[in-house]
Amino acid sequence: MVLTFFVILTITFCLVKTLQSEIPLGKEAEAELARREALGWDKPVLEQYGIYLKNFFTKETHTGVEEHTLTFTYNGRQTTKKEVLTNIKEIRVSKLEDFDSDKKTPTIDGVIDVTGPATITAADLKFTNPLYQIENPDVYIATIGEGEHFYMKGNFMKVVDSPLFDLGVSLRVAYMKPVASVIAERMPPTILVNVLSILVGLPLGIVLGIFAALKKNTWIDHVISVIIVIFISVPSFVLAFFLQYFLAFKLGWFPLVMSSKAEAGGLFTWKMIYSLMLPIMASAFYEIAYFARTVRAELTEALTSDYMLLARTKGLTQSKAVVHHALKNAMVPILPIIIGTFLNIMGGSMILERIFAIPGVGDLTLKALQGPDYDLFVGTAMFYTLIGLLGGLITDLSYGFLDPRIKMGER
Amino acid sequence: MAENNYTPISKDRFRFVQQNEKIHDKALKTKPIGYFKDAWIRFRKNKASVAAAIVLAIIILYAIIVPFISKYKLGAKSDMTYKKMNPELIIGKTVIFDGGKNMSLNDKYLMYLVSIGVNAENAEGKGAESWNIGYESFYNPVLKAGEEEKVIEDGNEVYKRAARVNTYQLIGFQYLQVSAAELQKILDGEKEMQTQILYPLIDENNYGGSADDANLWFRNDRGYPINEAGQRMTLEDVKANGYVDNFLRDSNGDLVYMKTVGSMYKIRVLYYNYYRYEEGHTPSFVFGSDGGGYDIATRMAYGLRTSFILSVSVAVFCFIFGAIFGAIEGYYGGWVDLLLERLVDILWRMPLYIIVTLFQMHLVNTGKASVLSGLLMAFCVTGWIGTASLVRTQFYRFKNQEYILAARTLGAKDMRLMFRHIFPNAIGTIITSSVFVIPGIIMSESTFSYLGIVNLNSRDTVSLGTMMADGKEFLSEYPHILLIPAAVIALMMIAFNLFGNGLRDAFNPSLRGADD
Repeated sequence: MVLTFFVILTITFCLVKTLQSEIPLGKEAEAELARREALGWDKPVLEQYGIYLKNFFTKETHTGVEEHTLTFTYNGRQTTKKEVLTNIKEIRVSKLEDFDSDKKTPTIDGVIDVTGPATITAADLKFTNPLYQIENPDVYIATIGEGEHFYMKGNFMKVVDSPLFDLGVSLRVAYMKPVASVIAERMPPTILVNVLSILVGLPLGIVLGIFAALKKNTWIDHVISVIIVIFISVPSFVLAFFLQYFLAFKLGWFPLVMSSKAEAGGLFTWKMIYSLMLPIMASAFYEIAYFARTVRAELTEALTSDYMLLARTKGLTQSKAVVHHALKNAMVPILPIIIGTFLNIMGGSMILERIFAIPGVGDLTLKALQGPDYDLFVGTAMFYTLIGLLGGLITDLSYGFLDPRIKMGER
Repeated sequence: MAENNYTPISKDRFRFVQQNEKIHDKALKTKPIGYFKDAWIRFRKNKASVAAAIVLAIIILYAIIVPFISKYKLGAKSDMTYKKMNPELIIGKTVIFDGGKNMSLNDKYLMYLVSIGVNAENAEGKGAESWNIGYESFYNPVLKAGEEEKVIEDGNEVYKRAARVNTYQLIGFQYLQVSAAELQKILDGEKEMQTQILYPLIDENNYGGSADDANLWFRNDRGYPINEAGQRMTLEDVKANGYVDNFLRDSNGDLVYMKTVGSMYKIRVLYYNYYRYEEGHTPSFVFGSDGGGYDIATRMAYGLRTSFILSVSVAVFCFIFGAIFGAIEGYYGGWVDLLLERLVDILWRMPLYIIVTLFQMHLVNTGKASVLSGLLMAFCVTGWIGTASLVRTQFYRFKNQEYILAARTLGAKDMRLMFRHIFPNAIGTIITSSVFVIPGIIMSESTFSYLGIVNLNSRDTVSLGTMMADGKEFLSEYPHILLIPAAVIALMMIAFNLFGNGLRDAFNPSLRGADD
């Protein structure tokens, strides 16, 4: 499995990285190219891959981006006057907290290169390290002579340690942010939708399946079978369109797309769940049908087994025999599937997230493809591959765990 | 002992049946039932599958035939005037789709709409007759209007009536600027077609005439018709007395039909008739038209063609390649099997979207392959795995059986053993699995083209996915643009699944007699 994962990683990485990334234009081009060079994006593909793997395993300080609102002072004094800044060779910047706490020499976070024109404006302030960047600079400029001062306010961005694995840096979707934390940020909405749809779909599906199996070849079974065929065959996005049109537009029962966090007051509120009803339905219908079909097939087989006849012969009622014998045995092949499903909650459906404007992993993947945002592309691709692989592995292992008769790897 | 009371049969009545004859096998009187015939008999018994097969056949025929008989061609320029039209299908006198939409009209708007019909029939100024002629007119957009009802709108009480309005006739009149040659052609066309295209121009400067709206041909005060005295008329007035026209007249009092603007002529046409003259047929879209004015029925047929061509080619490739691959795996076993299985593992675990995107970026965006062939290759990379694993299982099951040993002892080569002796055992399952490949491919293709991962929206290709993506923005007001392709996909998927299930049951000999 590990081997499979690395082969896929290698193929994807190399094929993605051999794509020609477009050359930036305009005023920022030089800084942008320097930034890319600092990240090692101009090296040969295989060398990049080596660095990627090395960073993933060994790097203690992972690539990431930190944002601070900073106030910088020159020679300890601040000014609010907008004046002209001249004759400075360099400005040393550090975090605001370091200034406030004590008078000792603050840790220097970066050096801004101002050896440019004599008169300096905000646009001229550039870090010597290309990975550092100033966002929204709001610079109050003072004339510098002997012991005079400089004061600056603005967002200061730099690539720093990330608590997660080092998967590189995003270029388009979230500029200069570490891929791992970009993916991690997108997980909660995806997980919320998937968990809710499983919570709806799983019990309903199992109950429908049991019902259909117990009433086999009656009209109830036929109706359930028709429902199963329809929900299994109709693609979830087609279902989503019909739900959106009839339940949201025509009847106005549910909102059209997911509410924003600010609107609903957080991710885990009733209002948010209400706004997610349509995507939950669209994915739950498939789960209902899928589980109902599996349960029906397994239970039908179990009900016709000999041990059921024995159970009835020794005097159990039909319901007791079903619950204690048939259902228990029928669940053996179904439980691993359920366990596998729970791992899939992390992978969002690209198309449903696009239709219902859910800011989840699927939507992120799509954005990474359209960017194209190369590191993020590789990152999300690996994420989905890993989920698939682990899901398969856990399903296989749980078969052996749940049913002692099955021994994995036995000849 | 019972008494012997039979009469003995004389010896000469006996004779030999086959004296001096050789005994041969005789041909069976009954017809033999082969594997496929048996499957066919069992398939026929499954009503749902037969219905699904018929639905599929209809969809396939639709995709094949419609582009030939359609008045609209893919890639032809569309008339943007007739965009977002509702479906219209009228065969003889049976109305299946009336091309209408439901609106709620107040008196002002009702009078405005019916005036189109009145003007088209030149019925102005004839009192009570005028309204009736206009209302009965073919060009009147109002198909049906109900009684007035009180509704609350933004806190105000207003009187409106539910009505069904034909979207095609709603266009009414349009101003055009044409050259002298074009004008002459239109005049000739008018004579040839025996219908009126040109209508008198409106006095734009008086009585509420508008330079933009060619339908406001009557004297009006902000849209309300007024009479000669300049007072607003109610609906009853208009019904009794008709509209008062506001046409442009020359010094002799004759109607003016054209006006020079630079070197061009400004004319006012009844657009429905103008379209007939321009295109040679009436505007009428069976499933409506989309946001670009294209016929949905025709585009859908081309989209289905794309889907079918793609999915059937992939299925055929998967059938052949999967069979060969699975046969090699299953027959040789051992390290060959192990090695190839690892390859399968890797390909199978690779998410499909990655493969499709990489093919698109590396081959299509660089111009090395067309969009469709790029997609085809991407699907072929992983599509055969299901078939291969089925074949592999079948080979493992049969390769150690005695009849294979016998054949090998008689000197049969590997190839002969594989494809002559073992493979036919698996043919049913393989065909079924190949059939199940098709809906999967169609679904993936429409998903990817909806998401824009593959761009199938060019001059000569279109896909159901792109049609749905285009229709998404009109979902609230013009749902047919999105919902018709969506419904066709849904229907096709259900049909394919039922058909596949029927086929699977039919090809499974262990189920023989189970349902009798």
